Formats: sequence, C-alpha cells, structure tokens
Amino acid sequence: MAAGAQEPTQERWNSRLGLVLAVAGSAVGLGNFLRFPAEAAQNGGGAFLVPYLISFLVMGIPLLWVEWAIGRHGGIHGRHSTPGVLDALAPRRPWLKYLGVFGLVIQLAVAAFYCYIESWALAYTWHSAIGTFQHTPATDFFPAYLGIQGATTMASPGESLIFFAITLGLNVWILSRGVAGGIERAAKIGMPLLLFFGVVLAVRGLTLGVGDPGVVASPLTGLGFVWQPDLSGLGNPTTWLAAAGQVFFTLSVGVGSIACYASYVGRDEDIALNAASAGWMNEVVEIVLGSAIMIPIGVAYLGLGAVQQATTGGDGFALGFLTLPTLFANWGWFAPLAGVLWFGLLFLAGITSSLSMGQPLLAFLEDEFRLRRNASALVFGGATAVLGLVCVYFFPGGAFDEFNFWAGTFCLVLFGLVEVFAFAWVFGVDRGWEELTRGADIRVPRIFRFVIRWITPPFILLIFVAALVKPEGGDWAAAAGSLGGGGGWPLAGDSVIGKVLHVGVEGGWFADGAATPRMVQDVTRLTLSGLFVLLTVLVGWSWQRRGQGVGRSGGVGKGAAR
Amino acid sequence: MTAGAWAMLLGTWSVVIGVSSYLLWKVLTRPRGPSGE
Repeated sequence: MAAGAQEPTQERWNSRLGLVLAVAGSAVGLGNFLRFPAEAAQNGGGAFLVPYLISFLVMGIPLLWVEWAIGRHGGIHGRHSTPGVLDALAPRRPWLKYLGVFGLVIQLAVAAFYCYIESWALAYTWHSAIGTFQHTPATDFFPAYLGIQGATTMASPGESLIFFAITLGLNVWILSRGVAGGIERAAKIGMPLLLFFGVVLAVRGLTLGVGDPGVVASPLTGLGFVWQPDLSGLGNPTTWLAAAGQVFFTLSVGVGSIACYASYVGRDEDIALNAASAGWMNEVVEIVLGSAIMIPIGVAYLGLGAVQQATTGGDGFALGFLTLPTLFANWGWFAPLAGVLWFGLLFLAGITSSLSMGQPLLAFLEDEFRLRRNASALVFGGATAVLGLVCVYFFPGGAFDEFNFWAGTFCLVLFGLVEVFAFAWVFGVDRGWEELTRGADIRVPRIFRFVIRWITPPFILLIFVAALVKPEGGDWAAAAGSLGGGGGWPLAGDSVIGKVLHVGVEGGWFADGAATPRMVQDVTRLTLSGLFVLLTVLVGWSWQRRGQGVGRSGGVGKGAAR
Repeated sequence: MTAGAWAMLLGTWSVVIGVSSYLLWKVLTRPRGPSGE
C-alpha cells in the first residue's frame, strides 16, 4: 500500500460501463423530462438552448471533471463522503471538512423529498396499469392521493404513505447490496429500460396526426417551438440564469454524489473519459428525449398556448403528472401502457438519482463510524423516513418546497462553488490537473485548465449572487432602473433573500388560532438548520475519534492517514 | 417546423448523439483501467 493510503476499501465497481451508467443514472432524473422542457418552453424555446449549451461546456463539463477528480483523490486516501474527500484535498486546512457538511445535508434532505416524488411516479405507474386514469382525471386523483384536499398546512396521507414506504424500502435494500451488487446492477437494468421507454413514447408522440382523435395541432409544432433558433436569449440575463441553473441541476453536480462514486475508482484508472461519457449521456436523455415527449404530446392535444401556460415558472410537474395521464386516455388500448412507460421512466430516473444521494451518506457512516453496510443503510433509511415524513405531512404548508429550495437548489449551487474553489484554489490547479489527467483515456483539452480556474468559479458565483437577489418577475433591467431611480431593488419572493424575508407573504405563524404556511416554512427551515448543526457536530466528533484512532483496526490515526 | 428549427434540432441532436456515442464506444473498447485489470 502507498504511504499515503489508509485502510483500503473493499468496495469497487464491477465494470467501467456500470460505473458510467451509475453516474449517468445519478444525473438523469425527473428534471430531464419535466424541468428541461418546461424551462425551454418558458424561456423562448430555441433562445434557451444556446446559453444552455455554452453553460454545459464552460460550467457543466468542468464541474463534472472537478467532482470526479476530488472523489478519486479522496478514495485513494480511504475517504468517500463529502467531508472526507474535501479533507483529503487539504489536510492542513481542517475547516474544509466542515464545508463538506453542506454535501451531507444536500444528500439527506434531497433523498427525503426526492424519494417522495419517486413514490408518486411509482403510484402513478401502478394506477396507469390498473386503468385508474381511464375514469378519474389526474387533477382529481393527485390531491386525494396526497390527502391534501382543503388542507392549508397539514395533509392526511393514506395511500401515498404506502408508496413512500415501498420506495424508501427499495432504496435501502438496493443500497444495502453494495456499490457493485446494488447501485451498479440497478443502473445496468434501469438505464437501458429508461432509454427504451423514452424512445417508445417519443416515437408514439411525434407520430400523432392532426386527424387523430383529440389532436388539435401537429406535435412537430411543439418540437419546433423548442428548437426554433433565436439568438435573442444571449442578451437576456434571465435566460442565461435559467439555462445555467438547468445545466447545474441536470448533471447532479454540487451534490457530492459523483465524488463519492468516483472514490471507488482505482488510483490510476481513467476518470476523464468516464466523466465526459456520463455527462454527454445525460445530455442525450435531456436534449433528445426530454424535448421529444412532454411538450410535443402536450401541444398536440392542448395547443401551444395552453402548454406554455401549464409550464409557467419552469416547472413541468403539472403537465407531466396532472395533464399527460388524461391525454394518454386518447390512445385507446395503448393508454395504460403509455402511462406505465411514462411514469415508469420517471420512477427509474428518480431511483437511480436517489441511490446516488444515499451512497455518500452510507460511506460517511462506514468511513467515520465503522458501521457495517446493512446498518448504514438502515440508519440512512430511518433518517430519510423522518425527514421524508415532514414533506409528506406538511406538504400543503410548503415543507416539500422548502426542502427543494434550500437543499435541492440553494445548497447545491453553494456546494458546487465550494468544490471548484477547493479544487482549483486550495488543492491547486497544478495538482488538480495532474489528478484529473492521470490515467486518462482521452486528452483533456488544456484550455479547461484555465476554464476550471478562471471561468467556472465566477460563473457559479454569478448564478449564486443572482439567486440571492433575483428581482421580481425576473426583470433585471426594470430592477436596475428602479434601483437607479431610488425606488429600491424589487426582490422576488423566490429569491434567497426574498425567501428569508418572506417577501410577499402576509401575516404571522397563526391565523384564527390555526398554524399558517409561514409557520410550516419557518419550522422546516429550522429543521434543516438543525440537521446542518447535527451533522457538523458528527463530523467534528468523528474526526476527533479518527485523530485518536478510535474504532479503527490497526489504530490508523489522522497522521497515518496522510 | 421551420427550416431553421429543423436545422437546429438535427444539428444539436447529431452533435450530442455523436459525441455521446463516440465517448461510450471508447469506454466500451478500453479495458477497465490503464493496466488492463
């Protein structure tokens, strides 16, 4: 063993293809099919794609390489969790591991609300198969399923709890099987199936004719809208921010999952080609399948205007979960199968992503507390269940949205910034470049050395600052005019500062003796803050134990680890 | 769909599918690691 190595991990990927599929599966999520087409539709169609592709090249690909390099470097030192891999970058900077706590919070909180969405997809798959949507509109089914009819803060879930338990149980079971036996096997089954489902739906949707029952427009009108070239988006900051944000979220960078997966790669094995391959595979799913299913089918049956309205805010959830099941009913005998394919696809996209949230947490428990894999999986399942139930029960009050915003959006960008800063400026771009290119099976263009250091960090910083102070209606020009005219900066309610200050929200925690959504939102934020503090304490404690060599066979302490 | 939309769609899809296929082909035709293990 090399002098710098700690206890070697027994876990390894079985095959290179399995690793690439697992990382691609981590990236491919519901957002590829729901968020991307909705963002494209809301930001001028083709006008969105030029900034999107530029963002992919200057931010997405560099961040992927950074995460892979950080992860493999951590794995060499026996570290697989986000605090561990960051600590391995700079052992003399003990504060760096605490920034890794952001990764743990993201993974746990996102796993909680993501497993809940995943369970909806599973339930919809089941109900499509048994023909529920043939007689019940999805708009009626959804609130009944969640138990949120008439509720303002708290739901009365029934069936949704069962599907949530099944989904979480499945995640825990797969994770307990290990990296190769669980995650890799799931990706090898799930990803080809997902692609097959997507291709069948895209072909069926795009071959709808104007004479078919219920069809009001050619599906190509929808496809044409997404792909109509329009360079005006290049001069619009809102389009740039939406495009860059979408690239960020679709690649699952800024989570720490990719770093964890890469930490099970050998010291001299390739990461540059694997990273690029997984990233581009995600783009095929997003750009080709993501644009060829929901929007064309929606436009064919509802017309372009209705689809634009249904995707307001860049959220394709309403179109995907509430409208498509009803539209599929036009497809006769194929309707139940179409529902199974669509929601099955979303479920597969979801589970391959949620598994990537779980693995780094299991790694944290295994690395730092020497828990066995099954025990780690159960602890992960228990913690995810507790946080998930907050989302389930307080869905109407906005707990789910709070998890999504703070853990799934805000912290993601923040941690992405931490990663690239730690890699390029703390670890050093020279050592970083050597780490990235060692054993590489492709020649990484040298320009990316410059990009990783000078372009990607300010690019992410810009997204972060823009999210902090996003103006009302996303109208930056009007906001600047207002500021210049002494009218102040009109903060949007969904900007970070706007959220903190509850911009646009009236009233307090109680109204007429009952709790208000504002109370649910504040308590959810306190819960997430408490989670951060708890995990920070756990990290500090476990490093202290590590320094004392507690619970480690052979007494490998901090000094020996480096 | 306009000719411009077709050109953008086919151009982007070709690049994305082409690059992805090329990279995947390289992954499949290379051994697990440089040492061939």
